[in-house]
Amino acid sequence: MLAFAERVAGSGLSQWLVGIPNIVQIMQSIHIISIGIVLISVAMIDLRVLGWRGTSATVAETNRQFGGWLWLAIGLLAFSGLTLVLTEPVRSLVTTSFWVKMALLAIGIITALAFQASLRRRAAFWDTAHSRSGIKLFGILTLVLWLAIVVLGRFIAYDEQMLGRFSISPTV
Amino acid sequence: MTEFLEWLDSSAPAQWIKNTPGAFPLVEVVHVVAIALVFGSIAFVDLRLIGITSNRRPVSRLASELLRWTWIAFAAAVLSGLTLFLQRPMDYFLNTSFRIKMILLALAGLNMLLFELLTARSMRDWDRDVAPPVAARVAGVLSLGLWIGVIIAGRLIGFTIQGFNTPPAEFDINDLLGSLPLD
Repeated sequence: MLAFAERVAGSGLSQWLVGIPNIVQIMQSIHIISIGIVLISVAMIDLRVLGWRGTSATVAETNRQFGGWLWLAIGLLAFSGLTLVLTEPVRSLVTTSFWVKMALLAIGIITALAFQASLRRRAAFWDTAHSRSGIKLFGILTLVLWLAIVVLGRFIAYDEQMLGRFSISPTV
Repeated sequence: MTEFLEWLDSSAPAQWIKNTPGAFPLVEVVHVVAIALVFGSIAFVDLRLIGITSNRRPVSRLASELLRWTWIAFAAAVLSGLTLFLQRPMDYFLNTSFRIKMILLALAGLNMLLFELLTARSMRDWDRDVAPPVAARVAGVLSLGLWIGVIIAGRLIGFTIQGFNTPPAEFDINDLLGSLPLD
């Protein structure tokens, strides 16, 4: 992984990005702003699925209200995240936090797509689904999942300190 | 001010954040998540005020749904932020990005206060309007801009604060002796 990260660091694209002033600060700010949109969108849809939030809107309406923003923010996160990885490949790729985060992110995205697909077919089911314990668990787990993704993202900078012997980060 | 900061520096919570391994990153994670939630929840209300999203829902309903999260998250952001501050009170206090962040935060609060005291009083008249009145839209734009500024300034602190990226200068007893009028 270290060799791969070093090759990425030597690539023309990486070199070009590194040369842009304040690129890391700008991209990190975009990343945090987008995280806010993702977390609130997921929370609002999840809380409606769980029945804990005003049932004045249906699940489908709630998804219409926040679902689009969720995907827009995920797009911005992918863009800013990719830029950050290219600017500091060794510091970001050679960490356990990054790869666990990517695995959880894949699960989060697949879950969201599956949920929205199911919602299109069975809108009525989701409006009363909160009475089922399996659906309750699903709602809570997806919230925890997205929080874990954010936490692991911040841990990339502290991989060795926070994960100890589970860290793949080269000891400085 | 210096005395107060030194007193903070030696307080028990300051000792905790300085001496507990992993404490700083953990509190920082709480701070980032809290600020993201503050921003996200406010942003959706701002976007509704500007007339960009959630137009089918009354402003008051959306605000009451979202702003309770804003306040919980804001409390968490303040508490975690204070704890982070305690790690190096003097360095944060002297940091320009930190000062800009505090000013932007105050302006965001002032904008919200003015909106609540003036514009929101007539909310009943435009609650269901797709495009709220100009004053509300201006408040929404200002709020979005100020909070984005808070996040950028906050992120800049880590890059500009003395000693985070550049290791602090080695202590050299000769520097101290050299500054004393010993001749």
